[in-house]
Amino acid sequence: MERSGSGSRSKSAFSDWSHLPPDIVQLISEKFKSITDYLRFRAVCSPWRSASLPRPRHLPPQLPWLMLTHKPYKKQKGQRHNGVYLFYDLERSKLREVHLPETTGMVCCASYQGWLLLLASKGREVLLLNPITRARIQLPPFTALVKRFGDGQGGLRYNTLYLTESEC
Amino acid sequence: MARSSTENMITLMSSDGEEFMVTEKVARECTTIRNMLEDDCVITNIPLPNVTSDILSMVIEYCMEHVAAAEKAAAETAEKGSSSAPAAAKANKDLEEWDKAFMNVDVYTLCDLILAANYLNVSGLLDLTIQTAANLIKGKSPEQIRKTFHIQNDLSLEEEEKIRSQTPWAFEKSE
Repeated sequence: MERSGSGSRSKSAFSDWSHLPPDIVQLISEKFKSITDYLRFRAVCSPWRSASLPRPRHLPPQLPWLMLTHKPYKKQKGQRHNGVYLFYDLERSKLREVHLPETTGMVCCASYQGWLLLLASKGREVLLLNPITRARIQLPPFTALVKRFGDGQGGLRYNTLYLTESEC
Repeated sequence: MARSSTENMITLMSSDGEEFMVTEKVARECTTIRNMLEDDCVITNIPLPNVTSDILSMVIEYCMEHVAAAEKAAAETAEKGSSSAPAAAKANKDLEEWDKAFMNVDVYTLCDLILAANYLNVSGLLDLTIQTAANLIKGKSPEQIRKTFHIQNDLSLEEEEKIRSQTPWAFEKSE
C-alpha cells in the first residue's frame, strides 16, 4: 500500500480545519493542559470558539500566580488605587500586570482557590472575584463577621476572615 | 505472522472506487465496521463513501500494525505462560514509535485522518490524530495556528479585540 508522503498532498474536499465537526473540535480542546494554550485555541476562529467551552473543566490545576501588590502609582489626594495588580506567573517566570477595575477602592483580604475576597467601606461591600475568569460574586455585607485586632497604637491591624469551599 | 487460510476476508471500498481486501480482524478494528458485521455476518463488501483511497489505505495500515502488535503480545504471553514486563514495555514503546512516525503527515492528511477515524470509529487512531493536532497547536499564537492549519480568520476586529481584552496575558508574545 502506498502512503502519501508528508507535505505532498493537496487539500481535499474534506480537509478544512475550521469546518471540523464540533465534537472533534471539543476533543482537541480537551487535550490542552495549559490555560494559555486553551485560550489561544479558542481565539483562532468562530467555529472553534463556539465548539469549546468558555469555562473548561478538564484543565489540571495550573501553577498559581503569586499576587504581589498594586502596581506603584502616584497617589494624589483623594484618589484610590488604580486597580492594576502585579502577579508573578510561575509557569513562565514573568511579572504580569492585570487590570482589575472592579477592585478600585477595595482591599484584598484573602484568596481561596483562585478567588479573591475584596472588601470596601469596612466590610459593607464584599466581593468575590476570580481575577482570571473575571467571574464575580457580590456577597451581602458581613461587617459582623469581621473581627478586628488592633495593636492599640493605631499601627498594624488585621482583618481575619475565614472562607470555606462551600462559600465559594 | 501466520495467518490461517480460513480467515474471513472483507473488501472495503473507498469513495473513489478502490477496493481493499483486509482480514476480518483488521476490519473489526473499526467499530463502525464491527457493528455492521455483527448486524449482518455474511457481509463481505463494505462501501465507505466518506473515505478516499489514500486515507483508507492509511487507516488500514494503522489497524494492521495494531492488530499485529496485539497478536505478537498474545503469542508471547501464551509461549511463556506469562507476559514479561520488560518485553511488554519494549513492545509498547516500539508501537508508540511507530505511531509517531505514522503521524509525520501534512495538516490536510491529518484532518482527513481525523474525519476518517471518527467516521470509522477507530478510537486509537482518533486519539492519536487529535493529540497530534493539539501538539501542533501548543505554544502557538492564534495567528501562528491559523497559518499552520490554513484557517481563515472569520472573527471581526471588534470580536478579536474583545477576546484579547478579557485575558490580555494569554496573548502576549512569548519571548
